[in-house]
Amino acid sequence: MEDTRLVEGLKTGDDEAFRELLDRYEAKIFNTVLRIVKDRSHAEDVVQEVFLKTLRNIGSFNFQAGLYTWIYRIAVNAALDNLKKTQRMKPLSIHGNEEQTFEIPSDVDDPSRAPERAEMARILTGAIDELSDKYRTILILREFEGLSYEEISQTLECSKGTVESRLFRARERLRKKMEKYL
Amino acid sequence: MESNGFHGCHEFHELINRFVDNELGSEQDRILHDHLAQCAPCARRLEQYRALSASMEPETVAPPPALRPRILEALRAESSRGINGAALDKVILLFRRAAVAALLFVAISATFFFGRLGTLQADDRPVHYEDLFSISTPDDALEALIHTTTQKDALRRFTNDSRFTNDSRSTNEEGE
Repeated sequence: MEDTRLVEGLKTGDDEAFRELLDRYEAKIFNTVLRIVKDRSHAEDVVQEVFLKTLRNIGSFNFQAGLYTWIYRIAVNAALDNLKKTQRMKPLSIHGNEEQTFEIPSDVDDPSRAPERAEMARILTGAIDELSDKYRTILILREFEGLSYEEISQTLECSKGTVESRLFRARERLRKKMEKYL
Repeated sequence: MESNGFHGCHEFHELINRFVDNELGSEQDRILHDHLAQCAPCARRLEQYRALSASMEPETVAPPPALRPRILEALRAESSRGINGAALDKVILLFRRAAVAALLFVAISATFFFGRLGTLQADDRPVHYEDLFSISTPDDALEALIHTTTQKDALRRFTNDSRFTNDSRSTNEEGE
């Protein structure tokens, strides 16, 4: 189903359009939101909210941005709002409830390096978690979601220059923490 | 400064950042590669950025099976509310904003009103407070203000009258 038909279907309350929307975006949005909020239960609530907001605001969607980018913007904003709320409630925790780790590409031929890789994954996860929300979010959108600078700038409603400089700073911080593993 | 207009390795680091994201134009790409060919630290930096990017391959988590029915139900419920539901939400929002504005107005008015009373109470001269309590329109407020001012002026004139001041009393005593 093309985006225009999908949007029309959503506007008229077409059940098939709802399903198509979920088929396309549920898993992607869930993973993006989970990476930002770092808590599975919160992520589920946020994802539901994202799709409800999508439906509520679909009338104002005018294809200036892609549907994908538009929904991502809703998702990132909802996830960051949720994160702010939970951070206010749990000021002592910086790692959230969900210890999501990142897979280090495995040197399958060299099992002796497995402990080193595990250590690196643990440190990388911690280093990413310690980034401020604005750097972590932009890193997630680029590295994990594969969004281009243009798509990120539309999603976060900031300039491409801001995207570039934030990504640079985020990478520099990670590089310094991970230097001995790189 | 290099002949290509770049001022040092730190500027190439930003180019490296864009290069790993495939966001570099062909001219900048060429300039970067010329630099990398003769700068080992920058070449090392590129390798580090690439390694970092390669390291960030996250586990993709499948959404819980119960999530989709839950969302679909919420979407259907939202859809069945339709335009009327959305319009109702807007009206409720409008009423909420009006209520907040009214509360703010009352709070500001009360602050002004009791602040004004406090000023009058601090003044020893008698004032008819009932004039203030009867204020209901801007005209009433103006009239009350003129009234209290007039009373105060009359009182001030009275207390300054030489016949009733200490000086005049002492003169009279001397005369006696």
